[in-house]
Amino acid sequence: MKHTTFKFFYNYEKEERWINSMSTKGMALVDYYWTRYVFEEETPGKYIYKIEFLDKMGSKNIENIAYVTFLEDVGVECVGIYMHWATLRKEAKDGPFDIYTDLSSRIKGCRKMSKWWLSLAAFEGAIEVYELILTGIRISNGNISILPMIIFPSVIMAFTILFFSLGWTARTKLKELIKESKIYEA
Amino acid sequence: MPESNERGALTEAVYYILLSLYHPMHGYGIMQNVNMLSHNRVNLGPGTLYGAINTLLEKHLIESFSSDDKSRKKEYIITTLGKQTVISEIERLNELIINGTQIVKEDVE
Repeated sequence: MKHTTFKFFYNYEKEERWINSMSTKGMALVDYYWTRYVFEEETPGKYIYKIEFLDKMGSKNIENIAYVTFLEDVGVECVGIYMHWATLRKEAKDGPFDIYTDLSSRIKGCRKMSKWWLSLAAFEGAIEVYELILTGIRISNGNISILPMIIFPSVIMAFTILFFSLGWTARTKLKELIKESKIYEA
Repeated sequence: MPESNERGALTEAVYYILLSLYHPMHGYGIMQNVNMLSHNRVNLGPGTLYGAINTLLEKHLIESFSSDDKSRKKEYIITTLGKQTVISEIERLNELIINGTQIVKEDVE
């Protein structure tokens, strides 16, 4: 039987942990798109799930299609792709499941992710500046209303901070990996 | 400044993938073979393997291998250039081993 749940995550590692804990409880994710999760009853712990940040966006991208075909050949199933994020699963009996096992690809992945979050933060930041200018104009016109003056800029500000902190976390991890690669072969 | 001729070390993943492909193999076969060769020490992640295969194809160290059976899975095989790369890597590794054991032995004595 299938169960559909809606949930919002901003941190993919927490999301990954949640999906895996559901799998341990006997609910295996079979379909995913943005906040929509479809689970199917399954032997508890049958699958291990991983979320990967892809180079290209979307499930219809040619490079992503080629990658997904390759994954299927090596026993990894793609549950869903939303924007840059692919949710993958592998049967636990086939051993541990890590998508990247070498330093240089982990560095590459981290760099892409931090760039993505930081560019989103910059985008949101630009909108924030625009909103604040609008607010200034409204005040000078004596036009005062709560929604556009307080709520909108606060929401945008919250997103800017969130994206920036996600980007910063990825950047810190990236620096650690780069340091490690100076000693150990990447 | 002229670029150095020195080629640097192969990554462990690349070295073992090249060794595996002395016989034609598909992705899953490579993963299992590398795991076996390294006595379960090296587990190639699918993302790492995919990236390595594409780079090795681009650099002509391996090529696609077409066999008669119409299986969907793509197979690969090492090229002459790939074999040369493996041979020079073995020479480099030998030098490391000889120097390492020599110095450590002197220190123990």
